[in-house]
Amino acid sequence: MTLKIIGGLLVISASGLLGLLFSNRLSLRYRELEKLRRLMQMLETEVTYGATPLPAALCSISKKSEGLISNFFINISKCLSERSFYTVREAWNESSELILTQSSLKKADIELIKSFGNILGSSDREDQKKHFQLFYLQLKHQEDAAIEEIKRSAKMYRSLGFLLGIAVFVVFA
Amino acid sequence: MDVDLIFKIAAIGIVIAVLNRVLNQSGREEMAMMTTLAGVVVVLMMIISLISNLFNSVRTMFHL
Amino acid sequence: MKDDIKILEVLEYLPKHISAMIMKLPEKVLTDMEEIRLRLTKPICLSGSGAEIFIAGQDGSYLVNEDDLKCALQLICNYSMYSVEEELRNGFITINGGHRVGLCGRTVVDNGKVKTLKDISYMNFRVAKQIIGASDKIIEHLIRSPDSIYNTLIISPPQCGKTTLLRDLVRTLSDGRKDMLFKGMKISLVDERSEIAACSMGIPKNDVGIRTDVLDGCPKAEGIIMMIRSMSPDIVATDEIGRTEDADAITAAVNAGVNVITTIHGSNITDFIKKQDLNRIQKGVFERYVEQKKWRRNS
Repeated sequence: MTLKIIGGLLVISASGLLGLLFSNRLSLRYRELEKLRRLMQMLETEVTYGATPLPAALCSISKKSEGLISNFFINISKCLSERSFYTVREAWNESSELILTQSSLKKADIELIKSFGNILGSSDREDQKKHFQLFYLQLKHQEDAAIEEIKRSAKMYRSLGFLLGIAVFVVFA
Repeated sequence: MDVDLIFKIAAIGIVIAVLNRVLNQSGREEMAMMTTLAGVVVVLMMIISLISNLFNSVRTMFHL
Repeated sequence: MKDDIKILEVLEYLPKHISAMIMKLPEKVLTDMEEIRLRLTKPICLSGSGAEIFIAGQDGSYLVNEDDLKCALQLICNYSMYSVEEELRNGFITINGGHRVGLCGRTVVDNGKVKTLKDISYMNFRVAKQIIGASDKIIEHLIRSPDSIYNTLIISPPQCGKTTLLRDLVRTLSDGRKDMLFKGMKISLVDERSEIAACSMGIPKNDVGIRTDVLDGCPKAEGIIMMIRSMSPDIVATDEIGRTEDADAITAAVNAGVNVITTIHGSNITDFIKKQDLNRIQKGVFERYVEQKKWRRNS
């Protein structure tokens, strides 16, 4: 009897945790998008006001933060300083593939970030500023979509996890 | 025919009802419908042996 | 060898396959090299000490393609075109080590002024070399007394080594010459294009003397005024004056009792006199003129 209860608790908690995991992934995505925006704003300041070259600029903004997104920038900065690639775009893409795919960001977010790497550092300050503004707009869309999804699905995943656990327990025990 | 089965069916019923509500609320109405269907199927499967017994006994009773 | 190292500094800014080809050349050639030219769809040309070499690839000459130029450009501007806007407008970028990379292509003009360069198809890497002792021959003519010199103008056509000369002059005057009983003077160096001192992260790569203060990357006119006010120099040194503002700044310096050493493009003194923008200083400012002719580098 107690074995049944223990087994049941295990199943319910496992399934519940799975639900929590899914739910958290959504809120994590939102937080990462927010962090990305803040770091990009810092990068914009470095680029448009300070005219700091990219390796130094990326290094300094990544020092002001930590986590996956920060690692992303450090990686690019290192690649550029070592001259392992001939263009920013290659270093940027490689870093995206390596690091961003491990984050909670969706494919659409990663594609957006990759597309920014195409134009970074390849035009004058005014032009770069415009590109930054465009990026913020697109990022805002993604952020809004992320919030929507959280509102819709976070609770759902949580409940789903526990309820399915209970259902399995009831059916099989 | 034990009481356990009745409790189980009741529990599944409650779970399905809550699942239905949650899924409807988050907009996934098709999923809600599917879980209801699944719940009905599961309950049916649980009592299928009882139903076959019922039919057997009705058959024997009326062929008597 | 110190000269060798200079070449390596420049080669870092070229695409890897091109710098590999250049490194295969004999050491003597590398040390003599003064210019590396990349021209679109033409072979790579190296020149130095009057000799010219075209680089050969696997079959015949290696022709420079668009990608090579794009890569080189990215490397030169440190992947950040926005950080070299001003320099693009002037047509050349100074890279680490004080080497100047001249760029040529299509200009974008805005209101009659050159806004920027695009479609760059021609690049000229000029290797900067510090020659210690370049000014030995002329220095005795420039010293007036143990603690002052004559205001000097060096007139020279391009590529004759006037920057090298100026650099050595600054170094000597700053350190002082025991044999001439000249104790060093405080020099303020306004290094607009980071060529003379070749500062990198604030540290001069070239030896410009122990009593020299370097203002890196500052436009000459403002720089001279700033240095006079803040660093109380005995001498102000700068390179390639040409505009009215430069002339005004120099006049201000001389009026403040500061000696001036500078350079200008031209073949001889008459060229200098002809320049209208500088008529403020044509009379009475410079007491010594150094003319340089095109010379072959002697070993």
